[in-house]
Amino acid sequence: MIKKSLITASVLSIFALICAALLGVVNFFTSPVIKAHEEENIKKSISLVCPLYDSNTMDITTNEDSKAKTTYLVSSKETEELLYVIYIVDATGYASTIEMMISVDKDYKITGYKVLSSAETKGDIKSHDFNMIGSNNLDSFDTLAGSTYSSKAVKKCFKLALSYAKEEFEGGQK
Amino acid sequence: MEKYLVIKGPYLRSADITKRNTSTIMRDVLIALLPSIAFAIYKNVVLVLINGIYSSIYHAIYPIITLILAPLTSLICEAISLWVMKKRGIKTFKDLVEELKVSYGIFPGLFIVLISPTYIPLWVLLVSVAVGEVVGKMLFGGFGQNIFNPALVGRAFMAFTFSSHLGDAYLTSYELTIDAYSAATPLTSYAKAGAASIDIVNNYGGMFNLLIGNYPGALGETSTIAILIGAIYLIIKDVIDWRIPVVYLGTMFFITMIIGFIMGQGLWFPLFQILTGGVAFGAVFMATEPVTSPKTHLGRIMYALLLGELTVLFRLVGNMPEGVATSIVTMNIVGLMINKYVTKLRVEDKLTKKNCYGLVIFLVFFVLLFVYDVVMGVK
Amino acid sequence: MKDNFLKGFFKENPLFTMLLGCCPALAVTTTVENAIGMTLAFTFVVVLSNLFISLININEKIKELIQPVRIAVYIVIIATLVTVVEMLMEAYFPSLYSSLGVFISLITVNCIVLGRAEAYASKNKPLNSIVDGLSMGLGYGMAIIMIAFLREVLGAGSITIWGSAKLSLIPVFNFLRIEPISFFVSSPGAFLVLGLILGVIQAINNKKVLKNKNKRQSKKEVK
Repeated sequence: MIKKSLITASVLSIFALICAALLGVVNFFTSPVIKAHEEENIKKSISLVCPLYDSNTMDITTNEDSKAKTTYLVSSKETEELLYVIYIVDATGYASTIEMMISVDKDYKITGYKVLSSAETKGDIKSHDFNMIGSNNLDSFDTLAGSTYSSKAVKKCFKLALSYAKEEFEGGQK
Repeated sequence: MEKYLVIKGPYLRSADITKRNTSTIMRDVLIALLPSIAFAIYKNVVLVLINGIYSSIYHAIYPIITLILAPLTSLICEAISLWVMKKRGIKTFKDLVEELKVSYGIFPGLFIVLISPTYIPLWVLLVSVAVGEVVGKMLFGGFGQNIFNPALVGRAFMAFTFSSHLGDAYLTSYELTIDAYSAATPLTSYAKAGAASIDIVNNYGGMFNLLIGNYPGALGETSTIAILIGAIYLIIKDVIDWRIPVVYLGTMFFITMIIGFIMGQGLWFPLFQILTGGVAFGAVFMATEPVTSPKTHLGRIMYALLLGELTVLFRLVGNMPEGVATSIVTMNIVGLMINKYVTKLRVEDKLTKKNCYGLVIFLVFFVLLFVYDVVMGVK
Repeated sequence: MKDNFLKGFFKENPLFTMLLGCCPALAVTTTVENAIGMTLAFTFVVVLSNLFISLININEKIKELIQPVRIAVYIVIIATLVTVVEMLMEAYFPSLYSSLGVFISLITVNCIVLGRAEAYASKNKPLNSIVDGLSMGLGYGMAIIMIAFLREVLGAGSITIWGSAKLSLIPVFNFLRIEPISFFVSSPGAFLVLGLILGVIQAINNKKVLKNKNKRQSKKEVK
């Protein structure tokens, strides 16, 4: 009885081993391609929010300690000085969660932003200009007429990004 | 041996009343609709023509065109689907005409056009009519076998699919010139306003005007007076049961009154809620539809109580200003259950321990929904 | 052989006659491109899993050995194939991968694949199993492409075949003065379209059955 189940178990594990080996081989070939794709995607979206981003002179690293969902640090290759911090933050709007990518420079000014995902029913918040570029506070925020809740959520995203930046890099750490 | 005979609704005991059949019921419904249709034409065509503000004559008489085309489309869809599906052995054209006479294909189209915005684009209206007629009625087996009210299936399809077309379509060209309307209908104004205030009623000409119905809204459902005339006619003719409209409107009035008191508003708030939107029309013509509403008195009261609660829920808590169509379609599903349960109760003829669970569940659900309505409805 | 290949399209179509694999059929059919991608991934998996499983079962001794754990073995094989497809797609077709999303991994638990493995491949020769897999995969693909075509044309007014090979029907819609009905791209629209197609197929089948019955009856009468 025990012998029988042992045989069964070993048959199953042989199959599992063969399959795992096969997966390992495929992974060996595909993983560099996948990684390259991911990096390219990050670079593409960063260049959208940081108009001055240049892949030849700047490096991208991720900050795992940050409070935000995802944080990218853009620093200069030569001096290793931190130039931009890019946050991906989200807030709840009228009918969906709005996810935004916001880039903050060393003077805590917003250099660019992009609404990554939203399924709001009214108004085109993806292309609306919220008048926040170059600003370091929320005074200049321009509400999108007709969609109060969506605008509130966008405003909250900016607030979060600015507060994270000030919190995490205040006190000369930068 | 068959103990009970299962046949399709609406039922009529022809032994009690002579010279009455489904045909006369439908004729009475049509007569009861006449005041509403007349008022709709007065408000949307005659008033516009008198005031002389319209871009073209086509635009001015557009409501009449929709009033003719929608029932016609519905009838044509019915004929085509009857012919394609070969229901009940239709073989020749003569059979088809005979079948059309007893399947009342114009009603879904007529009801949809009466509960739709006045200036809805024609193709949107006709697509919705076709969907309501074919998907809501014919695919279930035709007249008397539909689970959902076909007109409301079409209307709900319109509301969820073409929501971008509905907003501005409510206003006639004359009403577009009135500044006081902050949004298309009183209900959208209320949904948009941050807090409840009696200004909403005043902007639309006061409570009496809401009763008369001279404010922007769907084609046939603005005038509560006209609908009431139709309702009284139907109740006298014993076509509809008075319990459904009275309990439905009563429940809505009661809940919104409590919500209004909590918000510190007067009696205008519940009145505003039952005078605007399609509540009166829905309560009189839609909720009482003989095929889809429960068949017993107790069942009808249970049905109407839940209807009132659901309408308040969809209006004040959901993100659409209207709630009548959605709540009646939802209750059509529950209606089947209520029907089954109440019939069982009636056959057993007394409340035993076993069969009172249904009532207990109903009461618990009712109270929970009631509390939820009141808590969430307060702005 | 020919019958074996054709059965997956009409007689034993996994989606239309057996209603298997409804979940991806409703979820990924928003564009024709997605449906084509799903078809390719699905056909790849079902053909190879059929092949391997029939190869395993060809040897009586191995067949006996794996008998108690055969479902686990099948699932391991299918899961491996699906993961391979997922990796390849993520590496070489990233946009398709992101639009199909989790439904690639869900092929693993798609009842059609396991069903063919248990019902057909374990009892038949490798070559027949491959044909069976091809037939099932392409039959399923035909079904979901049909749904996707209707949904995309009605709901978005376009036909996306692959990448930028896209045919826009918006001019036709404009000419008719109507707009695409976005309802059909949403999930309730998928249910409606699938239901209508099933209804039409059922109606055709009923008609055939009725005809056969009449024929038989008239033959009897003649006798």
